[in-house]
Amino acid sequence: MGAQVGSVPSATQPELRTARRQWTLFTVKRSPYLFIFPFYFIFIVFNLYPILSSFLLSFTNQRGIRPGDFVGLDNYIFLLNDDSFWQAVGNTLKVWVLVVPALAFGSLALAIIVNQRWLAGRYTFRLMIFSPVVVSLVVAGTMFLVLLDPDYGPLARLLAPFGIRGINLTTDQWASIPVIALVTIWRWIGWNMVIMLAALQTIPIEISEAALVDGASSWQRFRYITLPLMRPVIIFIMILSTIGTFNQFDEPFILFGRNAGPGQSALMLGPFIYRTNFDFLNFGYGSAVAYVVTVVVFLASVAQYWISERTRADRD
Amino acid sequence: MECRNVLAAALMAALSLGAISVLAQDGGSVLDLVSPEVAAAVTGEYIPNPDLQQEQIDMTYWSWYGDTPRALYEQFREYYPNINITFEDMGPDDVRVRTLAALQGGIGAPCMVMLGDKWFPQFADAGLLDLSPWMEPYAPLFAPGKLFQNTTADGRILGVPWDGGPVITFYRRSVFEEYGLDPTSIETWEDFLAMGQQLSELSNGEVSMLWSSTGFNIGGTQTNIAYDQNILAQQLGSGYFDNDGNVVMDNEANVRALKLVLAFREAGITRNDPASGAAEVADLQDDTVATFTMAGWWSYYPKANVPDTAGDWGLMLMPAWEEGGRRGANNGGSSIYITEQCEHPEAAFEFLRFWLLRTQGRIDSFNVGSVVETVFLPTVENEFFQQGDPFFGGDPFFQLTQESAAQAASIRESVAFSEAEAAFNAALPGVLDGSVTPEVALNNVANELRRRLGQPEQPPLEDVALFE
Repeated sequence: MGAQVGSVPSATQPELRTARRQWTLFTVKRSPYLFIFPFYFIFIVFNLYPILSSFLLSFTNQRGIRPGDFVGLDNYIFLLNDDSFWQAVGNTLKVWVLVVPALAFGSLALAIIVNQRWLAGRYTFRLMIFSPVVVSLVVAGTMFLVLLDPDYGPLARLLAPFGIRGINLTTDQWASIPVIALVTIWRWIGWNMVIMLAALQTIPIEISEAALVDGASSWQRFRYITLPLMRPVIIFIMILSTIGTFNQFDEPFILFGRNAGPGQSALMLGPFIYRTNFDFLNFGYGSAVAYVVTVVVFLASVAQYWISERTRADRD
Repeated sequence: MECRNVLAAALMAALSLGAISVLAQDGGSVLDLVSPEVAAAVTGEYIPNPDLQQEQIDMTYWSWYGDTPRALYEQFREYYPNINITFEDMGPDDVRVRTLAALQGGIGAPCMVMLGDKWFPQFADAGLLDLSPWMEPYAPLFAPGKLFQNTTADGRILGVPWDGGPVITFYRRSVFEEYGLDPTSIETWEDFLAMGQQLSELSNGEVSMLWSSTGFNIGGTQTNIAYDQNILAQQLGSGYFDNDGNVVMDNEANVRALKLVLAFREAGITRNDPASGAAEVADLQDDTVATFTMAGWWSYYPKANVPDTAGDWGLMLMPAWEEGGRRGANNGGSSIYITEQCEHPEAAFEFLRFWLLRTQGRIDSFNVGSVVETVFLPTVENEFFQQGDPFFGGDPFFQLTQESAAQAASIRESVAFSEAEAAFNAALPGVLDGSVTPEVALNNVANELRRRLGQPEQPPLEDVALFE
């Protein structure tokens, strides 16, 4: 046997057209799926599966590595009576109240200031305000601990002549939440300022100039032009900050450690979930808490958006 | 308690008592409790296993302190150039969480891992290799107490003990001399309290009798108090859980222990509120602290932080609750485990045997990492560990820590230990500000834990007396 060179039958024109059409159909209809496959594969394996798996876990009493038994809604019911959980909820809400408005409106104020053409060195100011974002939180946490040290910290030394003692984070329960809020605002306000600044610079100057010609004051231009046009960005930042606060982990954990400060006064939902799962190894209950927090964050974000939209509709 | 647990505990107790009684006899050696072959392997020249010298073997070892095994591995390699061990150092929590995840996932676990004794219950059924066939001949050679008990589950020996945390009292000689007091005359906590008040009066409140810390102020006041309470309750034979895993945080021992901590605070003889690690060091430096009662491994702290006080420290057994009572307790300790994912468990155990089951391996470990040897009794007997420590004025550091280890109660931690600790810490502020009594506070904490663990709730004790 042995094929002669050049004897391979050539495809007919109709066959070629069919093959080309099929290839075209393949490339047009299937190639997008091939392109997105890597993402969805990773998403399904590393995101979706754990999400669904932990949802199932939340109905078990799994502790440690031993598989748990199905306990129905017990974890969710227990959560309602768990003092530590409610303490974490309360602390998180306190931080939210302090942080979210400060981040939203503080960053707007800073953005307006560093957007002024008359401000000399405004690029330097922008850089300075943004710089905490690039500082490692471990470094920042240590820095704040040194700053606040009641024996050796500069704050304590400043206050000492007035008979005011410094803050002892290991005993002063009242200080935990303000300190977390302070560090969070310090760290994130620069980031939000950049977003606000970018949005501010998209507002057409003509609108403001027209208002100026009509005799609008600076406040009126801010109130009736800048603020309404910035509303979507403010809402965006508030929603992101809300999600961030409810999931906040780094600041309270680094500043106050696994014990969450005196009397758990710095216990927030993020560390609470971490502690329940990875310190207590109470995976069933920890999963239930995580799901409840997720639902609460989702509802809070929807509520913020809804309130904002409704306010705008009422105004319109 | 499951039958196997009872048998294991009984076996351990018998072995431990045997070890102690042998040690107590003049001229007796704990090595008399094991076969001549094992005794020779422990004290004699190391004889390598030719079966393990053939194929190329790669293993991993995870811990938060790898200096010592690394040093021993260098010696081990002289016998086994074909065995390659990769040492990975990470934080203690990382070791715990990563190992647990790898064991649960069935892949990625190291061959050998160091785990803290208090975590052991979380790993007891997690995929650690049963070392009983290899370890049983060596079992009589280990100290009693939680050290060895916490490597044993359901009659299986799962780990090779590395170190322990026998608690002793460190005191400052010059401070007591200045006020004409003799700390070595203290036998009970009542004596301690009385001398503390005397010292406070004589020094116009400048000197605190007791200083407590867990090192660099980790966790602050509440952790310091929890530490003190825990070792005091241990002296009364109790932890947060009994050996069956039942919550007993609100029993008489725990209430009395917390009351004693409060009594120290009320008498003004203690300082456990330092705001930072720097403040802690300053406390030790400025001659205003008379004693601290800590695990033996904590001896590194004054050596490292106040080296100029060398020779001014003395050591003694911690006071007892009553005359003739237990003067030992334990805090800390860790062991090395081989996971079921290890492809060469024989080689891994051989390395552990070389490192931890030979007197010379233990001495070399001490020379590298200053581990406080209280676990492996043949080493304890060794002349090397009978020497006094110049930093502590020549006091017999090892003998005292060994005595504490021998007297410490056997307390098995629970899988929910971390939960109990956190709940205890959370309840402390209420106790400290007097808004809730120790009996009620501990009962609240205990009942919260009982609810979580599905155990029946209990009423609080009433008016527990501090001293009987």
